[in-house]
Amino acid sequence: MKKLVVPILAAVTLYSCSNTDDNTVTTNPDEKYLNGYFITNEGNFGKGGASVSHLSADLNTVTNNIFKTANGKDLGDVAQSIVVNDDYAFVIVNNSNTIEVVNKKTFKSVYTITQGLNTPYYATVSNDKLYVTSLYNPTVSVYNAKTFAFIKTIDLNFPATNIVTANNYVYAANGFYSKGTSIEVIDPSSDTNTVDITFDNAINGITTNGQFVYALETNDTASKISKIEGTQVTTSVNIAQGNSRYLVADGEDLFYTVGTGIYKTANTATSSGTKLFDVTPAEDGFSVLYGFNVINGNIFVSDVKGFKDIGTVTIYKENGTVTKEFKTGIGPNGFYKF
Amino acid sequence: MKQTIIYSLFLTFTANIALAQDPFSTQLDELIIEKSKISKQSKSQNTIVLNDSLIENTTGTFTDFLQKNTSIYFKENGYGMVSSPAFRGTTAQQTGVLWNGIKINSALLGQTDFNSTSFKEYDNIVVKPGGGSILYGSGAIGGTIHLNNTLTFNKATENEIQLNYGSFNTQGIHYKISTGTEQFAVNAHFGYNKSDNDYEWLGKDQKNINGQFYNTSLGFEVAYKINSKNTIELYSATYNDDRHFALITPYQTKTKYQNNYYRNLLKWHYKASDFLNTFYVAYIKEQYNYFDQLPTNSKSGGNATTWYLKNESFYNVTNKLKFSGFLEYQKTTGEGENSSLPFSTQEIFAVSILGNYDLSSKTGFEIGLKNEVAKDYQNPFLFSAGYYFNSEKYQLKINSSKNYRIPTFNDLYWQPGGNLNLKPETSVQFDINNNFNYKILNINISTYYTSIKNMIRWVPTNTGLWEANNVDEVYILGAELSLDVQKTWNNHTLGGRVNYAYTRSIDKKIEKQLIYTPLHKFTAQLNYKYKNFSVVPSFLYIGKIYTTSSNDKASAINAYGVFDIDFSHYFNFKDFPFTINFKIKNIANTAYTNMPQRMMPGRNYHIQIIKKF
Repeated sequence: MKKLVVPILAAVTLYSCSNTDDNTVTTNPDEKYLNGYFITNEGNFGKGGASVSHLSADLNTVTNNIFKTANGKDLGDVAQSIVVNDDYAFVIVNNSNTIEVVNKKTFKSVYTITQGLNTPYYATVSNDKLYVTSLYNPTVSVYNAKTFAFIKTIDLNFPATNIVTANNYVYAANGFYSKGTSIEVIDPSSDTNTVDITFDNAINGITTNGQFVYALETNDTASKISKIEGTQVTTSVNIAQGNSRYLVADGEDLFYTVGTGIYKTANTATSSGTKLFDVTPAEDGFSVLYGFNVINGNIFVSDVKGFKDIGTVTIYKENGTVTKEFKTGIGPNGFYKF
Repeated sequence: MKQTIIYSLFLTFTANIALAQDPFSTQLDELIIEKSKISKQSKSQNTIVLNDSLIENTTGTFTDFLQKNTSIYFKENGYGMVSSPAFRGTTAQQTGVLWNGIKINSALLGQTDFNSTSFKEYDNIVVKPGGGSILYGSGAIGGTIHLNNTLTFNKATENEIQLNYGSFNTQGIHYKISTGTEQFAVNAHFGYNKSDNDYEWLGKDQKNINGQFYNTSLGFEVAYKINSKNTIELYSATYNDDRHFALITPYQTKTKYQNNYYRNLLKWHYKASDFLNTFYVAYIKEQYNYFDQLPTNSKSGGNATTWYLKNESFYNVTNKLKFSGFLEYQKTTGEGENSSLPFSTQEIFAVSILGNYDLSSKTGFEIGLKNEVAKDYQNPFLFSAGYYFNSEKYQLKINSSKNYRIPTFNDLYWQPGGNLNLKPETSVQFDINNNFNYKILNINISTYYTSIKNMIRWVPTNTGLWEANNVDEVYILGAELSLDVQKTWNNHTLGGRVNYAYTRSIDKKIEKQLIYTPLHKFTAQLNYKYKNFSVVPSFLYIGKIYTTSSNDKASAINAYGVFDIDFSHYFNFKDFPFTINFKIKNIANTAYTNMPQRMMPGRNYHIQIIKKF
């Protein structure tokens, strides 16, 4: 979605979706996607090529375009992110202004949320409610996560990008483009935003291990990771490099990136990270690390090929060896396991 | 004026290929046309003239007009939406567009949106395939498109009104007046187009949502003959449009785009026996608004203002040797409105020298050199060289040139992502053009090779932001063929015209065809005329295009062919003669797109009345 920086250029530049590796091997059709990983593929802005790929839990089998395969219709324009609750996966389709609700195991369509959305960005589930941020509006839209009914809009001070749940709070981080530098905390029992945790710089990453929330703020010369308990920052650690990105929690560890470097630190947020390795540069010299996540020790990295071609995903181990490399759809931007 | 009419008719009935002999050049005092001198300085390049009667008879967008009548391929985000050319396998920014001799590509985006450009007010539109940066500056890599108004002294007043109405509530009004005295020549024109553009998406249960647009254009040209040596011309044009952007999925946020431009140009011609000097001053303003969340007023925009000064001198040293020199200065300032383009200034100073030497009455060669100085990037030194041979039945033109495209304002200054380390895109081109004439038949065959490096593209970087970078290298091998034939007997005229373009535009790194560039484009038109009635069936074929750089077949857009037919009748009523055109577009109701998910209209009908008085 970062392409909105140049909306007109984006409207003029090009591309689409594809499904080359459509392996429809199934063991139990009712629980096709019970385990494994989901990958959101943005598609090209304005060209409707959004898709979702699935990678089996043993990392062996890739199935692309699972939404279209399951439902016989296109997903839409710019698949931004996915969240789940016990039964459903919610696919946030940014430029289509829709949230496709699907059965988590089969990816069969259950409902399409359209109300109260303005370019939805990221979402989280708390208290059986779905909280959705907006790229343009300083608001969070709230839905019943079982009936999908629109409940209300919560006002923020600035538009938020990522949003996470922990400890009975919902944390909406002001985005990289919103000029805000806060994490705006929502109490899901009242659905009001009463506390803002302020930082010096824009929040470039927010994550949770279920217990604590971690925030990565950055500018051109330096970065900082802060650990948040409830509504307070309890520890923070400075990082010498600027322009760091993508804070993610996995087990006892936190991971982030600087340039093409992958860094790791402990989730106590008491020491700056150590560099694990550099990812292989993209063929065009750019476009790599468009998407990043670490799940069960597997480091997922995507190369979006300048959105001119089908993207590739590479899975690394912590020592930098490549476990798996595969093609997805256009613009792979997120990796999920539920 | 008679000359123009005869010339127009000649072109209508025979070819749209202008031969090396330019009928305007000998009568500069009577007829002033931008290309008169400058085109004599590029005898080794092919020139295609789309004349006034062709322009007059066309309805629809500028994209429709050029897609149908030239080998330039256009991709459109749906009918009437953003349209960009791939001229000889290049990008939209590598097509130069000139208005009465000055470049009008957007300073902010570098390209011209051909669905946001009016064309009906021009007296002729000239297409020059191939590189022309020495004469036409940045962007003249794939080719140039020239929008020209002509001014005529001693001209009887002529008014023309065109009205059209068609499917999807499409409406148009165009009015032109031209008149002249001994000393003055004046044209004025007004145009308005609108369409609900809510066509059915064939084969899908959806209409084209939010595709409506309208545009208006207003302009005038005046020439004043001070004395036998000095003439002054003033050109002025304004254009406004309001175009909603069609949705591809039903709940998408609606958006629209408003595009405004304002252009003024003053030319002063000084003519002595062996010497012609033309001085230009131009002031151009472009401005756009992008409404990102309709129906709210949330918007961002940008504007750019360009001052352009140019002096052209042509000197006939001997009958055989001609020299010309150009001095150009351009200053552009631009800034975003509620967007990330800070106030920025670009200044360019350029010097060019061209020489023409005729070895005999039939053959000669020409050489051109250009140097440019600009802040924020290094300009390449440019050259061109050409050879020409002209005889009645055969003409040969060989041309080679180095051309360039400078980074745009957005490429350089947009924050974040603009990159001051960019180099201009540069290309080297070699072109051979053969023209054969046999009585009723005219055949033109062009073959060319173009190599382009340092192509600028916005790519996502490791910082998470998009940035302009010199990324791609491309080479293009292509051929263009056109064939015209015309036969008249008794009251019947039967003619045909065929254009075919073969374009191998290859990404050097991976040896694959560039995305959105068809290998084949074919157009054909038949025309049959009997007395006051004519019928013109036409066909457009676009070959398969790839949408991924690896040329993955599953995501390719299929080839398509579209049939249109035009019927026309001139009602020669004594007191009120007029012409009616009736057009059926996409007769076969073919479902097609030239961009992913952007359905184009099915069968549609248009009627047009043309009245001259």
